[in-house]
Order: sequence, then structure tokens, then C-alpha cells
Amino acid sequence: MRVLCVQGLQAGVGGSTISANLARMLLELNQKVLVFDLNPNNLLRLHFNMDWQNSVGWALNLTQKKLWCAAFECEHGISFLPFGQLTYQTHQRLIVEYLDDNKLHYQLNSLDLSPETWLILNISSDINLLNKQALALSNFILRVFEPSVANLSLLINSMQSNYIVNDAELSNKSFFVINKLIPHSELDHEMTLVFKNLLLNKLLPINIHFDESIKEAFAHKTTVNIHAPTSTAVREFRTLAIWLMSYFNRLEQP
Amino acid sequence: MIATKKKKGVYSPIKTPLDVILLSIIFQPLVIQEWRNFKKILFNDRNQLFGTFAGLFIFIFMILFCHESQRENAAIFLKKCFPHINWITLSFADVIRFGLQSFWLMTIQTQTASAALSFDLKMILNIFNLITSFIFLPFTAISKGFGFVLTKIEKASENYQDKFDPKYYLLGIFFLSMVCLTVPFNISAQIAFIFMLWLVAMIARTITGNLPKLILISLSLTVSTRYLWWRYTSTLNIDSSVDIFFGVILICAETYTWLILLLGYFQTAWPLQRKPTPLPEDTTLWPSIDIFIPTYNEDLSIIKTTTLAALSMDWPEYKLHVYILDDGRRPEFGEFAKEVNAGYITRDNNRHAKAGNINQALVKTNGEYVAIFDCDHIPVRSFLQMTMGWFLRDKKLALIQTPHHFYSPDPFERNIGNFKKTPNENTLFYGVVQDGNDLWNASFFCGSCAILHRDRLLEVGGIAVETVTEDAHTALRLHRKGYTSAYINVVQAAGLATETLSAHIGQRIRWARGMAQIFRVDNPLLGKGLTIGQRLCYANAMIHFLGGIPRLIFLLAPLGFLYFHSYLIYAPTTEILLYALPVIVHSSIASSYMQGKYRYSFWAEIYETVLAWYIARPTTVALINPKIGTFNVTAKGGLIKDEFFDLTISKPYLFLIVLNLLGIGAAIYRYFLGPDNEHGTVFINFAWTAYNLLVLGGAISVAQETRQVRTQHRIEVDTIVSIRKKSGHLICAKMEDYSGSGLGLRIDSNVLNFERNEQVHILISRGNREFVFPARITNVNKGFLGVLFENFTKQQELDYIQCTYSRSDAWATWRTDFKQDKPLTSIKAIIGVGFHGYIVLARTLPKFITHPFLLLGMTIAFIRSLLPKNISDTPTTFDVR
Amino acid sequence: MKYEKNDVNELYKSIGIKANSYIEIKENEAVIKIQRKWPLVEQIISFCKTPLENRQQGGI
Repeated sequence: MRVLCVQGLQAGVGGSTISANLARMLLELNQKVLVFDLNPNNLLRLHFNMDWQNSVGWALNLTQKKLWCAAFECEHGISFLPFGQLTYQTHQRLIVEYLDDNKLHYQLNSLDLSPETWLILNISSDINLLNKQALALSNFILRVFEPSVANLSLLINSMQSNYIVNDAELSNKSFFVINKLIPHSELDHEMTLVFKNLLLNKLLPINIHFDESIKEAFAHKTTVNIHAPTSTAVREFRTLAIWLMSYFNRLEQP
Repeated sequence: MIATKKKKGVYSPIKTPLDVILLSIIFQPLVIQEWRNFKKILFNDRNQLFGTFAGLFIFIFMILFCHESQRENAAIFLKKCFPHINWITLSFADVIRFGLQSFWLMTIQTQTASAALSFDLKMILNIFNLITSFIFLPFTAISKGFGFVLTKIEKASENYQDKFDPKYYLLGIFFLSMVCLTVPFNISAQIAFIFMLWLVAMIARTITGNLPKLILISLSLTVSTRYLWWRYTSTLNIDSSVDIFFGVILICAETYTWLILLLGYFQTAWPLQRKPTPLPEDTTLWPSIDIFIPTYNEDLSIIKTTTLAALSMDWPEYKLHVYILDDGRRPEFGEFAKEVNAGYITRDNNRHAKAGNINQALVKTNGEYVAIFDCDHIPVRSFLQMTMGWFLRDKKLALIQTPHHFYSPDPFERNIGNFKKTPNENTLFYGVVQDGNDLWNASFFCGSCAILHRDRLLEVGGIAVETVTEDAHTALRLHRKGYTSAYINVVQAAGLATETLSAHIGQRIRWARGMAQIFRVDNPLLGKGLTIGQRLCYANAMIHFLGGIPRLIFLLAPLGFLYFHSYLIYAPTTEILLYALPVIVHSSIASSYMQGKYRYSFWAEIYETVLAWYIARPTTVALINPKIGTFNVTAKGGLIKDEFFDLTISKPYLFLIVLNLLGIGAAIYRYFLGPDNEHGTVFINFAWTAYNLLVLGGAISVAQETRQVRTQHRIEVDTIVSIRKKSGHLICAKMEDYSGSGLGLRIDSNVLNFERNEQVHILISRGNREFVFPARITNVNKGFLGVLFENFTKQQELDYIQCTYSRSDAWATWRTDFKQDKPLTSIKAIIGVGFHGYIVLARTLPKFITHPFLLLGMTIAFIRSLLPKNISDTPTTFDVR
Repeated sequence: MKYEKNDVNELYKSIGIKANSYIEIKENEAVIKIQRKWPLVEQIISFCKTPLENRQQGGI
């Protein structure tokens, strides 16, 4: 099982979007994919054409004492587990009553996925119990950020004191990817170069540009390779997917 | 069309064709349907009496012999294997084509044929294959064994440690070769001799390595020296004064050619192929470099690109200074230099042109090294890091030269139309000759794309001003001082080729004159400080340019017999053939082996013939008095608005053609009315004249200047870029070509929402960085977009050049794309070019003269169309005709 | 001709030697210029000098 964890450096940098699009792209490249949304904002599902009103999700199921993985959804061959639409109170109850240190581990085991399946964990940017488990369980952490000065500040701060940076094992398997690079912004390009210089080979060689097609694809409740197959974004996601595939291939070879 | 047919069909029943009626008598409807399908693919449903019945015949044959599943592809197979037969309009000539091609496929092209074939015939073809390989078995075996032995010897010689006294070896070799060269043979012995040598050569050429190369060289030298010996000892007719007069002239020309051959082999036998040497990691240890871009009258746009590319080179900013040396003293150049932070140097006179310009700048600047670029030679960013390492490694090094590469077609390439298909004229020099010179520490300065050590340059008095080829002369002086030079055969700059044939010839006249001047003023064979290798390499470079007169002699030689009945070579015909043919065969085998990728066989004939007349006089004059003659600048970057035939430049060739045509007439006269015992001689001279005519035709063909309308040459590439529309959408595109002002882009043909004059941004990336350029769409055509850049800022201009011309791999694979030379293909191409010259010529003549030629041409074209074709070479779209 | 992403690698490949010694000088100079251009970036980067070295030694 190839466990890939996608986390934004801060909220709103596009972690869910990248998870969804990457999943679709891996599927297009004949991979088996399961997307597991661990982000309480519960947005990932919307990329896969799930009804907005439909509040079903694994977390909701847990709180309602149902079988948690009954939340499986399937759309165009993509299997995904939505988080579920939780109110503030239920969310607190979920954290207190239902999540323990090995919850996710147990959950993943019970899924019983074949070794060649990709499991994409979409987590929120903060550090909480669930996210810690997700980070620990994954083989690869994809950290998403924007090429902004604000993100630079965040990144440098996180280098000083951060859950991931302080753990050698976590930091070894974590890589960065730039999202929402605005093509005609000079500052964005300059910051990209600064980041590249700072992160060296920890920064993936693919930048995802800020593209109307990605936004429109979401508005159409789908991913960009279906909505706008000729767009640059599709090529970027494809390159990203291929990069990840070759990374895992190398990893899995003795 | 099909639609209208169908419509008609609804109202009036189609008449059943005769062939279908005939078939339906014997076969079932299923077979009829199959026939209809077969007919549809092969004849496009058109009926033609002969064709249909020929097709029917094949079809019935197929039904009888082939399995059902194989019949489906039969029509496609027929089209593939008989590409020169147009099945729609079959004629009786196609029967011959069919027969010849079938024979060809069954005997020669069996491999490809059986690959294309899915019939049972495969078995038969395999048997044929087996037979042919069985016939060639001894040859293959010898070649394999020979190769094995040679590699062993080569390995052994590498490990050879013991000292040996070369004197005895040399003496032995000398003695043996004297026997080989001078002993006269009778005809049968000579036949046996040349056959043996030929066999050895044919085997050696199939093996790669340095030893086979040396074998080929020594074989070629043996036969040519033997030829010359024979010529001197037994073919001069001393009894006739006319004979001896012409004979001596010819033998002089032949001796010259032999000398050039000898020196050429010496020069290119073992190319050094030096690799770049890494620089120290600490950039503070890197030396400081001044870059000189001399200009006189070129456009600012040309200088701009070069200057910006020079500024983009990966070298510490404070150690790199770019100077524009403007002999035109144009204020806008000064302003531009100031804007981009480059130096601007002028002087108050133009003495000694480019050499003087550089010398002046040498005084005013102070970097440790000086790199010189002609104003149109755009360097790539890695230029300095690829070259400078050698300066730090070799402490005596004074000069590093890199190849000159041209991204626009030179007049030969443009007028013949073989740009990027055949290696061009200068590929040989920069691909093999300079690398060969490098082994002898004799690679010389070529005026541009080179780096010189400033102090050492100043020690020899700066760039030499005494001759018009200041570059070679400067290098010669550096070598005389005991400094070394290096040649790195990695294309790290590219420029514009000369535009017109007359400009090209002008440039070559200058080189030829300059080389002849050096030969007189500062002869490399004499004087101090050079090794024997350097002397020979320099001498060859100079003597090479004296080839004008010998070439003219060869072009006129057969006329000596045909006009004046003078025996230039006083020997029986068979003997002449037995001595002369091996010379041609072996030298072409050897040169094809050595220069395969850099010069295709026989192209030198055309290159040299074009120049012969023009360099003959200046070189002779320069040899007599080196001071006469003026300097002319090579003009570049011009346009040719209309196609035209350069009559002025081709006048001497027209004259030679007329003389040779009269020679053909004389040959015919002598054959029919002369004595019988002269037929052989007449035939040889006739063949020689015909060959001369062919080569002269090639020269004429080059003088036909084709149109050139673009000011900016488009350079073909293949890279992915993005287009950003005003709406914020990014579209993926493939960049197909670029020029200084725009791009050609290929997009998915499903993307339709582009309009002319739409404003877009183009995102181009290089390495880790990405750059955005504002542009306007000028051309929309089915998935193709032409865009023109607009409103570049200074920074964008710089960035754009870094993304295109100055990418370090911009020209990396250009030369490796050429295939290994195939002499026979090359001959075919030369014949084509030669004939084309006469077609060009015919267009300018009145009709009644051209008519018979036209008829002849058509006959030849028809006969050619009968010949079998290589099926692998033909494109997959079939209706070529 | 196909342009791959890293032009220097392609160049080295074409002449048959391993790319290891090339120094992207213009790019390094550009980074320094960019850092000087934006005050906040300069402050942040100058602050992270030590962690940067840390990272080069081990991990981020």
C-alpha cells in the first residue's frame, strides 16, 4: 500500500484540490486509488461529484455508531471516503470519544487494501491527533504551499519548531510542492526561485500554476483532467503523478 | 463525393460492373464482397479497364493461394510494397515496375518485405534470405574474424610497454612500401593486386576502431602513390611536344591532389576529441574574462541578441565584462551598451578592420582572458564553463577554439535544399579537421567563438594585421612562441551563415588569399618554434586553398584529347583504368570511413568546384605579391526577395560547361569517325567529361538563389510551454520553433477558442526557472498558433534569450542527427543536384534548345520510375504521385 | 530538437560525460538579488541562515 499524505502549509493553499486531482490522474495512469479525507472541512468529496447536501462520511458514521467505512463512495472509478459534515459539537465529541492513538492505524488495516493501491490521505494544516497518526502512517508526505512571502515566513518558522521538522523520520519522507503559482506575478516567480534555493531537492520539480481551469473544474464538481483536458494543469498533475510513481517504484525496489 | 454518389444511388440503380459479373459466375457473393473491398482500397472505387483486370488477376491469384485472414490486408500490402505504382491509373509500364519491384523484394530487400508481408510467402523469402546470407557467409566470417584480431592487436598495443627502436621499423616499412609502390605489374598481376586491396578495404570498413582506419588510409596511400609513380615513370609521352605540355600540367595537378590527400590523412587520422575539463568549485579562483563583440555595419538587433547572451553566461558577474567594439561608431549602440551594462569601445579610425578593432580594445581592457565572438555568433550560457577548465589545467595554453555553427542555411544548403539533411561545408572542418589538428597541438584560431590568453596574445603583438586571415596567422605566431592551443568540439555558439552565394564566395576568396599570404609571409614549413606536426597541419590548411588551379585543370583535362588529340596519359585504356579506379575507390572508402558523419562522399566535389575559379586568381596573386588585395567584410542577415539566377557568379561555369559540351560533341565525332583503336581512350575521356559536366551542373544549381523572406530565422525545437489567456486559463502547448521575434506553437486541435490578435502570455521554463512573455497571436491554423512577442521589457529580452538561443543544450544534438554516410546514396544525391543545375539552366534558354533536353529528362525520369524502390523509405501515406 | 528541462544535463549527456561540476552562477546571483529586493524576504532569509545549514547537514 502506497500511503501518500497531502497537507497544506496553511489552510486554503489547495491541499484538497491537489489530493483530488492527483487521485484522478493516478487513476488515469491505471493505478488503483483510494482517497481518504481526514480534513474536517469536508471539501474533497465535492471534487468527486458528491451531493452537497449529502453529509455522509466516516467521522459522522463513527459518531452515529454506524460502521465507519460504510461511507465509501465511488465515482468514475475513484473510491473515496468523505469526512462527513460534522457540527462543532459532534466534532468535539469525535475527538474526545472516538479517536485514540491507534484509531487510524486500525482503520487502515481494516480496509485491507492490496499492496499496489494508492491511499491518499488528505489532512488539514494543523497538528492534531488524527493528523499526527496520518503523518506517521504515510510513506510520503506532500506539503503544499503557495510561493508567497507569507508562506516563506511560515516555512521558516516551522523549521524552527515544528512537529514534522523535529522528527527525522517525518522530515525525511516529506516533500514540498508549490501550488497556485500565479503566472504573471513577478514576485511569485522570484519566490519560487528562493524556495528552490532553500529547499533544494525537497521541493518537487513541478509547480502547479494558478489556473482558472482548476477553479472551474471544482465549480463543475469534478477534477481538471475531466473538465479541461488540454489545460496546463492537467500536464502538471500528470507530471506530479508520474514523479510520485517513479519515486515509489524506487522506494519499493530493494 | 461519396455523399453525392450515394444520393444518386437512391434514385438510379448502379450498373453492375463487368468484373463483378465475371466473378459472380464463378464465386459466391461473399467473395464478391471481398473483391469490392479490395477494389475500394486499391482503386478508390474507380473503374479502369486495364487496372481493374490486373487487379482482378491478382485477386483471383490471392483467393487461390492465400488464407482468408491474410486477404484482408492484401490491398494495403500491395500499396506498401509497390509504392511507385499508382493503382488507380495503371499503365503497361506498371507491369515492368511490378516485375522489377517483385524481383527486388525477393532478392535484395527480403528482410523488409517479409516484415511487411503477412503471407505464407514469408517462407519463400526466408529461403532467399538464407541463400543470400550463405553467399556472403565467407565475407561476414572474414570480417568478424578480422575485427576480432584487430581489437586484440589494439588492446595489446595499448599495453605495450617495451621500448623499441622505430628506426628499424621505419626502414622496414619504407623498403616494403617501395616494393609495393614501384614494381611494375602486368595487367593480370595488377588486377589481382587491386582486387586483393579492395577486398581488404571492404572488410576493414565494416569494423570500427583506429586500426581499421589506419589500414584504410595505408591502402589508399598505397594505390595513389603507386598510381603517381606509374604516371611519372611510364605515362609521359616525351616524343610529342603537345602531349608532354598537357601531360606535365595534368601530372602537376595530380601531384598536388596526392599531396593534399597525404596531408589530409595525416591531419585527420586520429582526432583528439578533447572533453571539457571541470573548473575548481571555488568560483573566486576563476579568472576574469573580457568578451569582445566586434561589429562594423551589422544591425543593432543582431548585436543585441549576442550581447544579451554573452551577459547571460554562467560566470561570476564581477569577473565577466562584455564589450561591444563598434567600428561603425553608431550612437545607438553606445546607448544600448549602457542600458544593458556592457562596455562600448570605439576608435577614431578603422585601420586593419577587425584585427585592429580587437587590438585597440586589448589596450583598453584588462581581463586575464579574452573571448571573441563575431557579432552574430550567439554564445550559450555554458560556453565559459565548458572551455575555461583547460586554461587552468594546461599552463602553456594560449587559445581555445570551439566550433562555428550556423542555424541558418548557407547558400549551398538553401539553394540545393538539403539544410539539416546533409552535413554542410564547414561541418568537416569543425567536426574532424580541427580535432585532428588538436592532436598535433595545431588547432588554430578561427576568428570567433574562441578564448585567448591576453598576456600571451599581447606577447605576439596582439591579433596579426599583416594578412587578411588574421585569426590563423595569430595562432601560428602563438604556436611559434611555444604556446599550446586546444579545440573543444562542443557547439557552444551559433550564428548566421552567409546569405548569398556571392557573399559566400567573397568570404572564401578572403580566406584563400589570406592563407596564401601567410604561406608567403610567414611560411609554417620554415622558421622557428614549430613541431613537424604543426608545420604539416598548417601547411595543409594553406596549400588546401591553392586547389583552384588544379581543380580547373581537371575540369578541362579530358578536352586535351578530345580537342587536340593529345595523349595526356600515354598508356593503354585498361591500364589507365586499372591504376586510376583504385585511387578513386580507396580514397572514397577511406574518407567515407573517416568523415562519415561530417561530410558525405563526393559533396566536396561540388563545394570545391564552385570556389575553384574564384580562388584561383587571388591565391596566385597573393603567392606572387602578398601585399596586393583588399579586405572585404562578410555581409550577413540579408534577404533575398525574389528567386533569381546569379548569372554573374556562374559565368565562368557556363563557359566551362560550353567547353565540356563541345568536348562531348568531339567525343562522339571521334568515336564514330576516328580510328578503332582509340575507342577506349575516347570512352574514358567521354566519361570524364560527363562527370565534369555533372559537377558543373551542381555548381550552377547552387547559383540559383532561392527566395528568402524571413529576417528572423526560425529554429526548430520541441519543448512544452504554456499559453495563458487573458481569462486566466492556461493551455498546454508544444513549441515547435522560435525566432528572435516569435514562436510557432502546436496545440491540441480540440482547443478552438484562440483568435487572431488575441493578447496572451507565454510561459517558458528553463531549468528551475520559468519566465512569462507577453505576446500576440498572429496566426491560427488547425492546432497551429503563430505568436509574435510584444512590449518586451529589458529583463524579458534577456530572459527570452536565456530560454532559447543561450540554453546550454541549444545546439547539442544538431550534428549528431546526421546519419553515417552512404557513398551510393551520396552519388545519387550529387547526380540529382547536377541535373537540377541543367534544369535551372534550361529555364533561362529559348524553347527550341531546351526541348530535346526536356525530352531527355522526361525519358530519364520515366526510366527511373521503373526502377525498384526501397519500401522502408517511403512514407505511410501512399498516394505520393 | 527536444529540449528537456535541465539543459546542462542534456549538454553533458550529448558529449558523454557526467554532469557534476556545473555551477548555476546566474541563478545563484539572481537569488541574492531577489532577497535584497524585498526587505521582508531578506529579513526572513538572514534569520534562517543557521537552520539552512542545519538542513544541509541533515534534514528539514
